[in-house]
Amino acid sequence: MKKLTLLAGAMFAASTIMAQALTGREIAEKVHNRPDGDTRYCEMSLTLVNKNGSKRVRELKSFAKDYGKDRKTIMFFLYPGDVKGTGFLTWEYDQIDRDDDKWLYLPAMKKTRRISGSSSKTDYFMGTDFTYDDMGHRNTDEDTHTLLREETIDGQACWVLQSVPNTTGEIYTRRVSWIRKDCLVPVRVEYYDKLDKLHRLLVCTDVKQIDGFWTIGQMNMKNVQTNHETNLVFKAYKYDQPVNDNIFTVNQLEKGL
Amino acid sequence: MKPILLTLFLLPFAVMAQDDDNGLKFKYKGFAYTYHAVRSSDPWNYMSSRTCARLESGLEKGATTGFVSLNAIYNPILEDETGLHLREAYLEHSQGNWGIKAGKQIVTWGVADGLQVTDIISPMDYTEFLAEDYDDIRIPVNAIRLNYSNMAVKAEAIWVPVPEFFNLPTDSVNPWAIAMGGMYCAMDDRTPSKRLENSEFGGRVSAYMSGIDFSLCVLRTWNKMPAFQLTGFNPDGTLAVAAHHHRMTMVGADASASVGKFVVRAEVAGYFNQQLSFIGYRSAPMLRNQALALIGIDWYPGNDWTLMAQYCHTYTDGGTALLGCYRNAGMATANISKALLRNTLKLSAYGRFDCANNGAFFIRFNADYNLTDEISLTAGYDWFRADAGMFAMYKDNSEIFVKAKFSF
Repeated sequence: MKKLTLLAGAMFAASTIMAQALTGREIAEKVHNRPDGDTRYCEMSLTLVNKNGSKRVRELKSFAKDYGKDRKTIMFFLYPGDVKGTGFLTWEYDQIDRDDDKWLYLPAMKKTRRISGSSSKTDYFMGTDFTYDDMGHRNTDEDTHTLLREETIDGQACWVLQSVPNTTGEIYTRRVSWIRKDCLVPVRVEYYDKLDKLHRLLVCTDVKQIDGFWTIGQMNMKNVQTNHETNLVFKAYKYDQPVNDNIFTVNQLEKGL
Repeated sequence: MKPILLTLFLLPFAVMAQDDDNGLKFKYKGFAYTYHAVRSSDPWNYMSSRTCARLESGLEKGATTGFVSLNAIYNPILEDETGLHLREAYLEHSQGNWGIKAGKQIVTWGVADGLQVTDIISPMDYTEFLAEDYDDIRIPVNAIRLNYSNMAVKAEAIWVPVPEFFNLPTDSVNPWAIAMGGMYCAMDDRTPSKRLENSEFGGRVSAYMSGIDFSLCVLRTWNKMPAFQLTGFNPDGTLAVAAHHHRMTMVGADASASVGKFVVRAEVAGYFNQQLSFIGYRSAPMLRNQALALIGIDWYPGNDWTLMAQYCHTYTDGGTALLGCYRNAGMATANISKALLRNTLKLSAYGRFDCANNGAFFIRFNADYNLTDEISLTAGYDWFRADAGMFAMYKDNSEIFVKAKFSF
């Protein structure tokens, strides 16, 4: 029994030292590689709220599948009516210098068009406070990560990680993330502008396990400079559903889901 | 169509408007809009006045889908347009990599925007020229399409038993009626008879790969835009014109590649035995071969700006001295748009430039504002300037327009 206690103590000490020794990049890599299944289905509701309190809503559904470190996603708008049926197909590559492949299906035109894979990342997604980049899967090495400190938020132990983009052209100069140690989920992210003033604040809530995977239920992104905010609610999350590869094709984009 | 008939048609859909436990899914969407345009010069008359409701509904069970699209239109200027119109109605079924789509449908091929190079199966309805939404201008065709697709390739065979042809307005009450030398036309439309031997058929193979898409296509078809023959002068002052169509073959290819913030599009086609109008009284149209080549560049610089430009060149083989076209002709388009106020306001300008006719042009300036998620308000100006070419007959048709649209 004494030996067992000693062994447990030694293991705890070793794991503590390992945790303390984690670098910012290692934490970012852990977050990047957090298990999220090989396929994902979800429905999203985005509510845009301006400073006067008036609201606009966008609803969409999406399928995603991992191909190694690359990812294919097909997404369709469900609401509002003028964009209903509009679809996006994205083949997202993890390799930093490789542009994504993107197609847009416009139901009114009955036409699919290839769109630029590199330009829209810094644009806001459909007028929300999320950029296309925020909605995607950013490669760890696109930023330089520094562990600033450790803090507790809402009773959860977190790493506080600063990430500075390695390239120019981003809409923020640095972001600071509070990452829950127990599940590797960022629960708060601050985005700073070129004058190093807080620009946007992301708060993630309703963190829970679905099908064994840690999942964010709600995200609130607020532009603190304009007081415009977007509430993103994820619904009907399903992981590791069998998904045919043919879903992530232009043919499927034109047929809809 | 009487309102009660419309109600009877919609009632079963309304009853079914929910997912069934047996996997039967009902989907619907649509809109209602009112559009009005006034000439921006003397006599300041109405150019268009149209109120339209569209219902698109799909019933889906497993891999089979039925789709119906209907327009209910009220048009006090063009009374023949008022009524209920079936736009699309087709059945679609897929099995593994194979799929079939049969019925009335709009077919779009190619990568060109608004210019037709290989995209010639669904012709255009010029009843109100470009004053309608682009999808309302395309004429659906009754077709059977068989396709095979996998991760990277889509192959399609199409058969159109009864081809459709361009719809050209001739009624003088229509400000968009076609005119020749300032005179309206009484058209003797000589469309081919509805026989199996006159059907349209072809195929297209497309590949979608990392960085580039390309397609090859071939189509045994007709010149959908008629070749005109002046056959006489009517007592009412109109020209008697015969509208001819002839068998032709189109062979084409297109490609689209993403290069950084740009997308480059290219499309080429050869028209063999294209029938073209011959200038001269009672002169029959002539057959010629034509080569068309289009290059387009889309630029996405960020900040919700989009800039697109295209140039399409047409070369006509053989003698062109008395043909109603130039040996070399060019048409260019440009589109610039900017989204503002969190995508609620979109400002855009779209222009078509007839390079073969002293830069004759049509430019549409457009401001579109989303008042709510469902309601959008649009105002704009259509500007025509032309001394010759296809825009010349519209040179006095510059107009101011407004539109209110409710989408659901």
